[in-house]
Amino acid sequence: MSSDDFSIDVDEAPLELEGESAIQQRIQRAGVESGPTPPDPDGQPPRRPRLPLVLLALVMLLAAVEVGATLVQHARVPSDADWNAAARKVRAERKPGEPVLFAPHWVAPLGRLHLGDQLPMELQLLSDVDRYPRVFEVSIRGARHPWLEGQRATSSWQLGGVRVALYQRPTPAQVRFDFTHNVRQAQVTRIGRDVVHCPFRATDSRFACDPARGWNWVGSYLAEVNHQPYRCIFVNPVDGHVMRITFPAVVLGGSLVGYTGIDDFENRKRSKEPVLLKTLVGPRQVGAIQHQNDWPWHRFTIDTHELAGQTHPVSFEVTATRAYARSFCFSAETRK
Amino acid sequence: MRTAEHAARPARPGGRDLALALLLMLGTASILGLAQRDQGVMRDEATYFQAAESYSGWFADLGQNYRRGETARSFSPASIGRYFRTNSEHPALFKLLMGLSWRQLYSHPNPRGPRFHPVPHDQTMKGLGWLTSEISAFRLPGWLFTGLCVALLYLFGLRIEGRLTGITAALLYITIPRVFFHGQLACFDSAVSTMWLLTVYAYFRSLEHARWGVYAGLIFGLALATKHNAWFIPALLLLHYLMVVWSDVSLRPFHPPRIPLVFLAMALLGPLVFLLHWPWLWFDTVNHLKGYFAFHLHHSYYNIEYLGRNWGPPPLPISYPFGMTLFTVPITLLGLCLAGLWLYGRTPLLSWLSRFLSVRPPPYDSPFRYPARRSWIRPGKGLDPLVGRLLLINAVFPLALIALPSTPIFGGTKHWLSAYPFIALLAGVALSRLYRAVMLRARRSAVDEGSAAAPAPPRSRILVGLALVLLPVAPGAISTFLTHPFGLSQYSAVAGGPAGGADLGLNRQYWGYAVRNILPWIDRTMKHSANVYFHDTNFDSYGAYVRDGLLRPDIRYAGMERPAIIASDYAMVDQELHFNKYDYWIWDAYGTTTPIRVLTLDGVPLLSVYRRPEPARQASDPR
Repeated sequence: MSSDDFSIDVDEAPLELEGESAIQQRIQRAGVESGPTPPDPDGQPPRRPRLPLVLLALVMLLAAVEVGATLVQHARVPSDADWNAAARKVRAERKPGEPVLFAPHWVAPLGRLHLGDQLPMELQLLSDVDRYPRVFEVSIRGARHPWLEGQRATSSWQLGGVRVALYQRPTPAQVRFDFTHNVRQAQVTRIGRDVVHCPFRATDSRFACDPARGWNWVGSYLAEVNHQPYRCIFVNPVDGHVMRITFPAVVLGGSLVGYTGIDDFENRKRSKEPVLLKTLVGPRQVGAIQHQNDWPWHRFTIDTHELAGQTHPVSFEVTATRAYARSFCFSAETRK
Repeated sequence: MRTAEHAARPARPGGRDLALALLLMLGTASILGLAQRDQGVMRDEATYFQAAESYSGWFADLGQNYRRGETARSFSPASIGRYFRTNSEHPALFKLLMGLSWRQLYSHPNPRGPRFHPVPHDQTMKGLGWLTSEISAFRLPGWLFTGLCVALLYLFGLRIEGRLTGITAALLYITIPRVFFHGQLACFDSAVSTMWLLTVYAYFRSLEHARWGVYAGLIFGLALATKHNAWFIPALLLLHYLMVVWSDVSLRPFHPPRIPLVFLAMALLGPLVFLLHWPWLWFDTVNHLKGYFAFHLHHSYYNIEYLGRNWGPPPLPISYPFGMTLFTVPITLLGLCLAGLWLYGRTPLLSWLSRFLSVRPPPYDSPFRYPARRSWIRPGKGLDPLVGRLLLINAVFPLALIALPSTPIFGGTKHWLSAYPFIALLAGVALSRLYRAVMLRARRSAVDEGSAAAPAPPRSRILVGLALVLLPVAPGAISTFLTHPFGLSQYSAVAGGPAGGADLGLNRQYWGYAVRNILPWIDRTMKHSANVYFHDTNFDSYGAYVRDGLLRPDIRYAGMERPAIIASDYAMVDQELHFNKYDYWIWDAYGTTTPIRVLTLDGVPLLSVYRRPEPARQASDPR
């Protein structure tokens, strides 16, 4: 069987990559069999098409670059030694109570594995780092934590694949009163046709409003909002009622800064209803925010400049048109 | 380079080609079998293990009833329902093969974990003992299906273009990292890709050969029996058929397209095979069919991370299947696929554009001459089979289906895996035409330099051929090797590798399988009778590990969700975006945010393990 049999309608093809006959046929169709390509009219040597060679080179180059990139990406991974060096550096430079942020966000489990023993849980549940004069950032791949965007590191140390950076901030926020931290000082009431005072239950540290409805409570909670952890005051609204949380004596400053969110992505899928949070100083409403279901941890600021230095009762009222799956959470503090 | 879609006509494989195809099939199956020993058990797989064992129990029961002269008892609704109710949302073929493999090839009995059997386990049962792992025994049909796809790609490529097309398509396909990953598993996705390709191949052959029309009907039935994706195939083939015969159709005189044998066979034999293979449909057929279709028509919406956002209910991003293909399939392969499309499509495209722009289409160069000699049993005889369009339709449709904003995203790339054989074929076509063009140029050079019409030197031909086979295959092969066994965390160089994928906000984990990699560590370090929250690893996967001796039987499965975390001694979290909340639940329950172990791939966390410190803090459950 000759190799010419390969290309069209044959029973037994020879075992070669491509039929020599196919190439032969192409040559014949192109008239090559009649002899060498004639020289150009100006006497230059005959020009053969370069495109096949260029394409061949391009394919080879593309594959080689892809292989190279794959190997480089695999090799550029911070080692355990890099992470341990970063942990030692943070231990040496950091003072107790100073937060450490990880970037990019997905590397946080590794960060906690290596630095977790230095970091109390509450420092990983922050809403912001406004109050801290010194903040550490541990990062890889050149990432920056979004809270530190636009700021320049005072010092930084590149430890293999891990970078430790210290950010010093000359004018940190001065917190006068932290509602989240002091939630046990609150008085909680559920207001409908009648007013229910929710007693504080020491066994689980919460204000339980209705023993029959296990979700109807108020207290400190670790919430997931937009897949990030936050310490906040949990309060699920109740249909046709107002959930009121009152702090009897709050030292006010120039502003009241807070955050709102709806806990748990499953609940954010189950319902799209917004939740309304009103803030009152004494009987006067000073702010309101209608938190939308798809918002991330949402910051709000209320100007309390004219009340700065005074002590007043401050209340938060939480309502929703439809309270199903509205596991609302908020944090707030007064600032100088 | 060739100029038109129809420039090549089928070549027939010889005996050595069939031998090479068999070698490709067995080689692929063997490599997959070796690789999967490190591969965790997927949630779905574990369910199919249970179903396979249950289905095979029906055959054991049938044998016993036959020996007792009570065969009819096995065919009662009660008996069939007992064994086939499990996982009745998917047809039975693949699970029947899994059960057959497990029953015949595994070395029974297994003294470990009798509590995990779905139906009473016959401890006297004896298999051939070729496989010492139950997981491997269940998975073996999957390797063979994947191997068959590789072999078939070789033969299909050979028929449409040439040997180089076949060999490169086969190798390019199996070295797509996600294809290799799914090829190891006892899941339907790789198998249905094979059956999809086989159905298209049979249809392609049926255009000129009557008996392939019948084969196509039977093969389509087996495809339906593999997974529901196959229901879409006839519509795509009909579309292609109409394009093939379009030039032979007219209104005046009236020559409508004939209904060819292949579609009659698919319409009759397909559903018949589907019905016959699945005992679940032998009674209460209408209701059981309703349940089957309803499950897939109203599939629940799973969580999937894509470009930094957790997606659930619709509308879903149209770009998802295309983006994920770009980020997971080697860019060399995708580039070659586009080149293949261009080679097939440039003649009609440039001809059409030449009406509006000053472009010149390549010369028309068709080997097909009219009148066509077609008939209803050989509907494409003498007509241009429009191979390019056949490949294009099948390469695009599976992605387009998932791209619909209302189609649930419930798993990622596996749901359009059936497109990849056709993408690989298009790439193979591009490579082989490039090879021919380079060889043609070399020959011209030789002629110009006076060395007559002798073939190009064998060494240079082999070198170019080898380079064209091996280099384009290398990116996928290397990526597969470097990311094994965490194929669902693999991302291509375009995405920046696994870490780049994490930066882009793409899913890092799925199916709860990563725990397999730390089972030796669990066995070594965890206290006796430790109560472990395994998170996304379901109970059946846990059972499979215990049955296979990969996990100490005293390690307890804590259960699901928050109550299980609160009750556990150890807890783990698969690092998917929407699973972050489990981290926080564990922090709250254990009073620590520090894991004791983080499993990584290229520095990307995949799985975190926590140990409850003593004494632990009370958890605060909002509900």
